[in-house]
Amino acid sequence: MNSKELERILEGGVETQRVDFKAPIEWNVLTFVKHILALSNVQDGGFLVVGVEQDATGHFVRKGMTPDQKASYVVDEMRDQMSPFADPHVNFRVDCVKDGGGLEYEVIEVLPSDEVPVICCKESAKTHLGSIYYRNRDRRVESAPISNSHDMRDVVERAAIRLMRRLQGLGLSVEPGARKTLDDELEGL
Amino acid sequence: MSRQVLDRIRSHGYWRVNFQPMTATRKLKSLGDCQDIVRRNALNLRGWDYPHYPLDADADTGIHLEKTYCEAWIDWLEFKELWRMYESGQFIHYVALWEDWRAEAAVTAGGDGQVSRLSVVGAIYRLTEIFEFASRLARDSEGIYANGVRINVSLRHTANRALWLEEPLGLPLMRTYRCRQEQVDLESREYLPDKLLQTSKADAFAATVYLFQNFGWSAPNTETIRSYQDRLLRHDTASA
Repeated sequence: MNSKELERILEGGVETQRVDFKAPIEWNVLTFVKHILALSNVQDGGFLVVGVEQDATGHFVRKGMTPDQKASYVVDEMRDQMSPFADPHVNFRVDCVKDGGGLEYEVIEVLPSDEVPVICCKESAKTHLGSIYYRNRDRRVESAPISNSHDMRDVVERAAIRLMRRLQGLGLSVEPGARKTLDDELEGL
Repeated sequence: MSRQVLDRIRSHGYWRVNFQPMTATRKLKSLGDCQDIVRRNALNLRGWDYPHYPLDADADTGIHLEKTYCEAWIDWLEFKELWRMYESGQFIHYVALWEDWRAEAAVTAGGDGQVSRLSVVGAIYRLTEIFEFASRLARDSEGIYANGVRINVSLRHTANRALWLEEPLGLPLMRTYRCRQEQVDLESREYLPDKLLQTSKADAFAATVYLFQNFGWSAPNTETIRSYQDRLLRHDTASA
């Protein structure tokens, strides 16, 4: 992510299904785990922008990160710490990005899961074993376990579409008559 | 002649092996390519190649090119096979169960050859060869299974056939395991090429266990099966 893209998100000033703001804080897997799991199950993944604080009126305020806070975002260590929580594993990258005013933010870009929804596979103070976390759309956006059929259908349909795209890319489902043609070729053999 | 061989194979127990690519387009540019791809990928792990690729043509064996495929056959002693590789990449292979023909020869010679049995070790070796050959074809630079392949394997004439452990030093089976159905269909699954490359031994193992379970051997010794697979793949076998 570059500064221009970050500015576009910050100027919007609202959290969406794909954008989650976090107050300036050092990396701690328990703070972020359910948000990363949830974004991985969203159609195109999403962004966690760390360094944005919500004030008493509910508005998001740019704060930026301190050097100590920034130093705690080491992507390999973060991935290792996330690994026990996710099945299949989640993929994400981390960028330190400046906004137009020179403040720095840590942006965690979470990539969408491949073909099956990511399931939480570890019980902890912040997560439930066996839950599928998602960025709910039927109320105020938050990262939470799926609790309604509407969100579940979102996740299942997304997985089905991705699987179909991959199979089509491999030629597996684009030639429905192939099997009969090949059977005929054997002439009863 | 090849038709006669096929009839003879089908008259007793036999394996039918069929690899179907996921698309029906022509993948091999010439009939010569059909012949070459089998020759260079055939396995030779236990003194008899899989599939058998005839080096010479005579009364017992031959290889020829037809309109859309290459076909080879052999009818020699207990070795009876017929295979075709089509330009589409489809492969079909009929292999007689040598147990039946060896037993028949023993009876003809006045012995007490037992009929209708299936060599345990022979079955492990055969299935390992089948999946390894599929894996090699998938790896071949012609890319005939680049979009995936469906593997169909079945064993025919199995009704009342009993498992038989022929290893001289091996322990006898604890009881007679006999198949009830006329044929056992082991595999009809689609494989993506990368999966097939990584798991051919494991797929053969699963097919072997499934086969034995169809004979009523519900819990075959999995370590023993794996050790025979390893021996075969290490070329460390007596004929079986």
